[in-house]
Amino acid sequence: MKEGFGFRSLHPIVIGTYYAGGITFGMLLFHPLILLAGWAAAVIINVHLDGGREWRKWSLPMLIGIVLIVVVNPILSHRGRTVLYYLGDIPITLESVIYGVTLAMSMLNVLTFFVTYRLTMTEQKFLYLFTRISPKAALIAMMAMGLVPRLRRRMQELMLIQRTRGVTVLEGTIAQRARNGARLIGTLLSWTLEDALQTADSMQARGYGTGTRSSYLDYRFRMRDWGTMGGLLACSALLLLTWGNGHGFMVIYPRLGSFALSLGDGVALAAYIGYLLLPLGWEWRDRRAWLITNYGR
Amino acid sequence: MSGKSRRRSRSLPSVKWIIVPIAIAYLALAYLSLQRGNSLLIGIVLVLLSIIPFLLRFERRERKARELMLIAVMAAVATVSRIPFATLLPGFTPVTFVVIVSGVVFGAEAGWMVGAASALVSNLFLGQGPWTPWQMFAWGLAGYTAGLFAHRSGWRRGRLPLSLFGAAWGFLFGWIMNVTLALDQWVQTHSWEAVVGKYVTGLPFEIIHAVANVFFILTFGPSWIALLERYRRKYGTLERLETLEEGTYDEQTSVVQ
Repeated sequence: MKEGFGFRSLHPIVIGTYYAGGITFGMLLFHPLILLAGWAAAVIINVHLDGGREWRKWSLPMLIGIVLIVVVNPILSHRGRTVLYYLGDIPITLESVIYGVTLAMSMLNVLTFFVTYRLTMTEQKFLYLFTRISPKAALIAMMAMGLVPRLRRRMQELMLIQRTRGVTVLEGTIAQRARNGARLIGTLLSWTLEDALQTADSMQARGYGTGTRSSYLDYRFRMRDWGTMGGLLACSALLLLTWGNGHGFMVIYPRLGSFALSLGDGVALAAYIGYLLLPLGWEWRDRRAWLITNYGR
Repeated sequence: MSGKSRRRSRSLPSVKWIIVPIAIAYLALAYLSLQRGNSLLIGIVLVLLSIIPFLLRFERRERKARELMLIAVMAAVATVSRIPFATLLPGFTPVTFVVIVSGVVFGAEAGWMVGAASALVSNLFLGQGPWTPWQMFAWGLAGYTAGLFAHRSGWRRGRLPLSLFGAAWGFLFGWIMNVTLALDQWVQTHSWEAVVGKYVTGLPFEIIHAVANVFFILTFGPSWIALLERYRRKYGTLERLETLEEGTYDEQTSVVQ
């Protein structure tokens, strides 16, 4: 049911465009306030799509990453006019601290946004999109992906069985564990290569390579896709226009500029947030439609 | 299948040319962005562009299902091989080893594909991010260069030359992954000191990676190469290409044996 609902029901091309643009803008804009707003929008999308479950899983690694960037940047970069204090001989400048924070915000923004990618861009959609551009590579990626869960199960099985004869990665010295781990992988490899041969022959027998490949799901480009695409393009055009005129990023070096948003920055911010939240409109609309048809409210 | 999708599929070859205007627009954007002191975009755009020639080369040839399957299996095994090692040291991964061995046995192009596919697929499980294209690039190149280095040479497949090669890639991989932040550091400060500082902070991970590569190649290199060599013959794949390219290939393999 989820696939035909709201954001997820959009055409792969629209979703692909959305993510390409969202990431690009996240990298183009370099103003802590705009990036903070973008991050908030990404969190809202996460919450709407799966209640923020996937996002929470990623929050710890993301936190470690941004703390690292924030800490390391002022230590390595000494540019800037305003020296806060000296760490031994090293001058820590305000500009460098702010730059580090902005860079970390930018990373956090893109990463949080990327979490939703996994929720909306299913493998089917990915394959649909990339078979047009690079059919063989896309097929390989998808076959490998399909193999992974099976291999994982086998790996678990192997680990369990081999453990009874003392081949385990859980005990012993590091060298021994690594040796055992690689032995397990070797076994897994020969096991898998053996029956992958059959899969390949089965593909051959069903006519792989006799013509262009079709896709199992046929996505239609519907009215809502046209509407979303138009909205996304309009927002991007507005954003790029203001960006081209020099808005949407803060002057940090050599002297820290003002945090205040100019009118142009405001327009860029509005366009950016509008762009990010646009597909959620379908989420809200479908939720309403569901409530009205099922509960009459 | 409906007639509609048939019609659409006939116009397929032209679709990939959509890449060209997009690439030009992105290059322009990245250049403008760089002029304003923001280097995040330029790195990722250049890396994505560098992937294109490899992809085109791979797509141009007709591939049998068995070849694709073999590459997919190697990529999947590289992905799964991260599991038993997740509890060991961070950075101690056999992925580079699997990619290098595939490059050595199956040749440069297949090696590139295994590397790039491993990066893409393992990140589908571990989390996609801006690092995905960089990993695809780095591991792809590891597989490609491994193919160039030892695919046609008997003695370079030996333990010692290959482990030196693996050690080099342990460092190169980390350095490639650090390019984004180093580039940012350079744009920020224009001082080599800061760039070098960035690289020095990452050095421990590179050393672990290099040690892992050397370890795996020393202990498992020859046996894995023998195993894959056997399957390559059994599958009867990825050999045809080489004989087309060079008639002398068969003699060379017999020398290797």
